[in-house]
Amino acid sequence: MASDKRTMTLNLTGPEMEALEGLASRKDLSKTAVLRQALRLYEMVDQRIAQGDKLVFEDDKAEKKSEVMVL
Amino acid sequence: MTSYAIQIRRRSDSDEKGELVDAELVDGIKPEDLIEIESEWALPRKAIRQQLLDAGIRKNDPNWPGSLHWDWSSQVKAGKLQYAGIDGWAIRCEGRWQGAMLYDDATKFARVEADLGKPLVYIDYIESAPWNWEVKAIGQRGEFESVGARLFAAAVRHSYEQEYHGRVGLHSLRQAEEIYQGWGLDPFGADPSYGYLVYFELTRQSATKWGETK
Amino acid sequence: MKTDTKNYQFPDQDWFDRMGEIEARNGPVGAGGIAVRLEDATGPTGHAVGVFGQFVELYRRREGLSVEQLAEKADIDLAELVAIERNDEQDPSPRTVYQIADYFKLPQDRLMQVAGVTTKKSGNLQKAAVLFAARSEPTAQLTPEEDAVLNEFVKVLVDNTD
Repeated sequence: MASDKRTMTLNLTGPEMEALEGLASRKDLSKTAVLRQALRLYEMVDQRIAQGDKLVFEDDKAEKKSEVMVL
Repeated sequence: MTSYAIQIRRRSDSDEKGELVDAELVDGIKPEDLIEIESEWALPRKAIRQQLLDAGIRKNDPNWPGSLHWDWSSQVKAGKLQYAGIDGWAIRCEGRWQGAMLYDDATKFARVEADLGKPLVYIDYIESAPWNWEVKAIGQRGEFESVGARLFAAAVRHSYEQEYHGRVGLHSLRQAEEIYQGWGLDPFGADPSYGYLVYFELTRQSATKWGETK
Repeated sequence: MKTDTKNYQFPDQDWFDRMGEIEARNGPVGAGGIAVRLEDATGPTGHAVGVFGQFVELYRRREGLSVEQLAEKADIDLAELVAIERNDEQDPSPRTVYQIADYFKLPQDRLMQVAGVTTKKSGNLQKAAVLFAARSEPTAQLTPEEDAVLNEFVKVLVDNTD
């Protein structure tokens, strides 16, 4: 499971690369690790939403909720 | 799916340590495995449950094992293993599943101040087979030891592999709180958003005792 | 800062013996399970019976009633009430759930859902039931935790918006 890895070349815009580097720094991960985690997170969110769950940002102070992704 | 050869210790009645028995640590369990696990554990669960009831012990009693009602095959229904970020490890020995663990390495983050917001391996569920439990109330002594420790070590290793530096998080069943304390995890108190189970975290520092990179 | 995981070493047997001893001494290992609890399917609708039983027990204790007293006041079968609270393999009869809801002045259909008598899915109720599946000590008075959790659950139960 952990052993077989494939290689890919990635083209990112300037801002995207900055975002990636910022995340890598804050999360203390290599850029590869950031993208791998992001991918797993994206996939799970996407599948759960497809199953009817909702992803929501909740603002306790303003007592507001806003949905993050809609199909 | 990968397998690692390990050994687990049979519990001994005497002062001598029990024998080491060859076992298999399976990395990457499949839905079929979850079903097989529960098919092996269902009747032993039922037997323990009946013995507890016969001994006058009710659910929610401190002596009632917190995971007695679990059903690993229900995780198949819940579709947990379909996500790339959720996976599991299990231990097989003497033709039986001895322990299992499901973890999430995509959506959970450290709560400890020093590494706040950094990703970790979160253990969704971990359990040792019912025949491995010590249940004093009915005089049951476990068969194999350190099954949980072996699975936990696998979580730490996976954490290192994801570059999370060994960080692991979990919500402890009440009966197991002293275990995680003893293993070096930091307690964060009862979590109201998780049924008041205590959240524990293995920090980057404490993780080094659980395995090193040479 | 990459970690060279090809050279990751598991701890040695001595470590596992020591950690294993801590594990053996302190009750079976276990973590997680709130969601599994909810999926603990014994009712015909596949809904968690455990939540309903716990709810009835806590609510009854908060009212200061014994099992016999509640059975009498709500006009329900004592044996069934005992079985419900004990979370034995029980499909509570619709009439019993109705009587309990009526006696405690709680919304019928919501309690029916919790008891697994009906199947309509309610997102908030599901979530509340998950939060509700908290441990509780078998003593007479409710602990502050139990009280708080019970309140939260009742709030969602009577809340008309979904």
